[in-house]
Amino acid sequence: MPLVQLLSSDGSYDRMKIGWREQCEAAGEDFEFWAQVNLNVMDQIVADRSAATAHSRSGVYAVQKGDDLPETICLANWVRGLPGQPEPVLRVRLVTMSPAIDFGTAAEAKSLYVGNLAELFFGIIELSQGVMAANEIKFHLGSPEDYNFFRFVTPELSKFSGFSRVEMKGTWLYITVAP
Amino acid sequence: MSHLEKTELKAVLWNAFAAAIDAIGIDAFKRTSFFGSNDPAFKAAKSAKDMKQAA
Repeated sequence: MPLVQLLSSDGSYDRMKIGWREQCEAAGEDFEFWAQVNLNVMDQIVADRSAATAHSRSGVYAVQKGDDLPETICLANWVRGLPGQPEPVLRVRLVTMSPAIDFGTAAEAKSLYVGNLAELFFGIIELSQGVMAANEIKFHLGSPEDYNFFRFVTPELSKFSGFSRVEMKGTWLYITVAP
Repeated sequence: MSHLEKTELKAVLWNAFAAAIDAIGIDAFKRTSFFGSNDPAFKAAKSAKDMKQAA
């Protein structure tokens, strides 16, 4: 599943929100409050294209199979000129799985979680080699539970020969892609 | 990145996430921020709804 950008201009972002609202309602849950913090931030990013400059640009990206609804989304922010960071950095925040996965049955849950995270990370690495070019990638760890999870992910990712560094620092997972 | 490296990366990612979920357990993984149902506003609204139904 490729990583695709969701935009207001082509209706893909609104289509995701309408579909995810239906998924919430099908599960008997209230979409107004579900992932409220993440979606509020993404709403602003998608609406305000003027925020893109030569030094910073952001977009909402989705793991999506064909014309299906996105299964997982995130906010990607490419920035140049961070303090102490001469090279551009690609920062990833607000990773959010769909309501269908969130409220789904447990039977296929693990493979869905693993598949979505693997596709998302793979897509981000590809993004860092393309339109958001950066050898430094930072994934935000949004909660103590995220930190606990990535404690176990980090040593495994370090085994990939294409990464020269995989390290957790504060609330971020740092990945440096080998030049 | 070569085709071979991409194939290796996909395998590393799958193994890393699968192993980490096994290590912490599905229940702990479901408490990560990847799930919108862990949003504080959602939890508060759901709790209020549950209390109202119980009353």
